[in-house]
Amino acid sequence: ANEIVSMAEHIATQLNSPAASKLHRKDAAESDEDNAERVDAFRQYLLDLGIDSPVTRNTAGAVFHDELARELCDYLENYVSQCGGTVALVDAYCLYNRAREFSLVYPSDFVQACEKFEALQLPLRLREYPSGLLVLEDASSASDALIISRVGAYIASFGPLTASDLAAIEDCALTLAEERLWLCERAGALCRDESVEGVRFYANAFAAAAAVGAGRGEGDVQEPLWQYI
Amino acid sequence: MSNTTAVPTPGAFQFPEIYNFPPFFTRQPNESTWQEQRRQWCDLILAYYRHNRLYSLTLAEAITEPPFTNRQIHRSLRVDVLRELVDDLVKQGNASWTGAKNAKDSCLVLWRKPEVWASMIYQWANERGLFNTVLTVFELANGDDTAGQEFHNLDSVTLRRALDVLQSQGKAQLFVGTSDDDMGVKLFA
Repeated sequence: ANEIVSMAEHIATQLNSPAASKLHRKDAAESDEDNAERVDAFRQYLLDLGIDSPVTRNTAGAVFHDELARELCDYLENYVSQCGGTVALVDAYCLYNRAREFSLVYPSDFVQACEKFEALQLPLRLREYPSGLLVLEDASSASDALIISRVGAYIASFGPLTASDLAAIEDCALTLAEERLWLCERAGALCRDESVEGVRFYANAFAAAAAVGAGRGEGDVQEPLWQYI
Repeated sequence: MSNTTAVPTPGAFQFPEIYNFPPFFTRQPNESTWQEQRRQWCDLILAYYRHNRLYSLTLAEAITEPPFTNRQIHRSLRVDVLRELVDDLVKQGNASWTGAKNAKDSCLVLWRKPEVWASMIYQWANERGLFNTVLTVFELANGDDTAGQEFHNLDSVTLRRALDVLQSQGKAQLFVGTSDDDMGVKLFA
């Protein structure tokens, strides 16, 4: 496979090289027309397979990451919104590389390009959760408040949820479902129940009780009356 | 009505609603959630122990029984969480560790602080004109004269704490007898 991959990379580079684009010039020699047709045909094959003229270091040089960022956004934007606005970075990487077929992108290049989204004002964002999980999010719609209210609504309808319950409801990766539940827990919207059956999240009844208690006023000694009988 | 008259505790202990909420038995990672949970547990422990006139707690045994186990919902508090709760109770003066130093296996649950017991005993002695007479600790706890008093049948370790408070306030003098039951106390104005 290595040989094929390197041959394909070689061809892709050639296709995108200045020499190849010269074949289309009006004053090109006749014999070049055949070559031009073959180049176009080959480009068409690439287009059918996935990416047309993929961005590589050879084609883009110094602005490689910027160009790659734009291409990523183009390709992934629809996919991300179809998945509800958030996609695990590893999933996005696999999907994108599969489409690129022969001219694969290194993970480090992929991440660096994603880090440029915000600076380039592209519609996606790279986000790191406290646990280290990396995701791509739709810049406009994936806010914490939305996640919290959505999960709260699920629990109100379906009862307490485990991470796999939430993953099934949202049709998202298990790790992402866990992150969302932990996010809600950090915000004080949920509390957890750990048992041999696993971890299940409930609406935070403690917060509700604390809100009632706040009515007692600060500085009041919170001792039950019975202590002084 | 004298406020040292014993109030009979009616029937079974009424657990609060939170007792049937499974997350109540899991140490919450969110700090402010834990503060509220901790507060409710401390209230529950003191209320349960008062209702059932229990005075001491051995952690390893206690977690297998109510209030630290709720069999209906199949949940139990973990012993390290209970240890954390007792440390909180100690901080607020409602418990004290007993047994080996730093072992933190057992404690007294002071649902009524020794100072309050002390003043109850003192007030009773005053009302009965018993100052400057020597009483045995035994008759103080179990004698007919104290029947109907809150401190009647008081656990001996807790009673001893209360008497120590009176002694430190200069209101009593303890006399060591041949055994704990023989210990005497003289109260004065």
